[in-house]
Amino acid sequence: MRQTPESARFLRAAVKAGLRMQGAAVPGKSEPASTGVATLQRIKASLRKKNLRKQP
Amino acid sequence: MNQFHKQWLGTVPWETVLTVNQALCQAQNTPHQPKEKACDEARQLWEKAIPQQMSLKEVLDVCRRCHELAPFNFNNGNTFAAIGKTLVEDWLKRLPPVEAQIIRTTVAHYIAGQVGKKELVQVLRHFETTWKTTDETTAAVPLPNKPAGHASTASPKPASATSAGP
Repeated sequence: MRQTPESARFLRAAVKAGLRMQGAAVPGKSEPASTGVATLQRIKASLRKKNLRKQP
Repeated sequence: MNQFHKQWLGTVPWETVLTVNQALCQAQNTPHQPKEKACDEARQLWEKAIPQQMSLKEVLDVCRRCHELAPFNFNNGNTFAAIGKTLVEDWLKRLPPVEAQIIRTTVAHYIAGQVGKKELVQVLRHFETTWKTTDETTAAVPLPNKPAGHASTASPKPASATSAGP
């Protein structure tokens, strides 16, 4: 199958995303495993607190 | 409700899936081993989906189903999660980083089977208004008719998207 520039670009981006995930799976290598998650956890904790306060 | 559909897999032939898995296996020093029967089933499912106009939810279901079929011996999760993330990436560039990360993580975890349909729909619905303000020609996000839920993030386990095992 002949590859179009779009599919070649997609392939490069997908490999990059996959390698990034693999890197995140290995502690001490590449990005930390919790990339981007700490912020989400803070948001969730804050929402949980708000909801608790709303409850009678 | 935004009901635009898109040919999501038009630029993603099955060969791309094979190459992504090959690259990930090579990086991990594991053999790239497609399983004959499962790989054939997944390929058929994938190729059937390529020409179809689908919603985001539907294309993510194709990725999830292919992941469940486990067409490779190693890196099934990372392969299909990476493809799913890349599918939405262009469009996430228009969102604030935290929101983009919520969607990115949820999409990957949905494909890897770590979050359910309900949570995916809740997250997508939460950001629906943001998407409506973006270019509708590329932002095709039809969602099932369910009441809007609060933004719920995927469980913080990006590493477990890896399914490196036979």
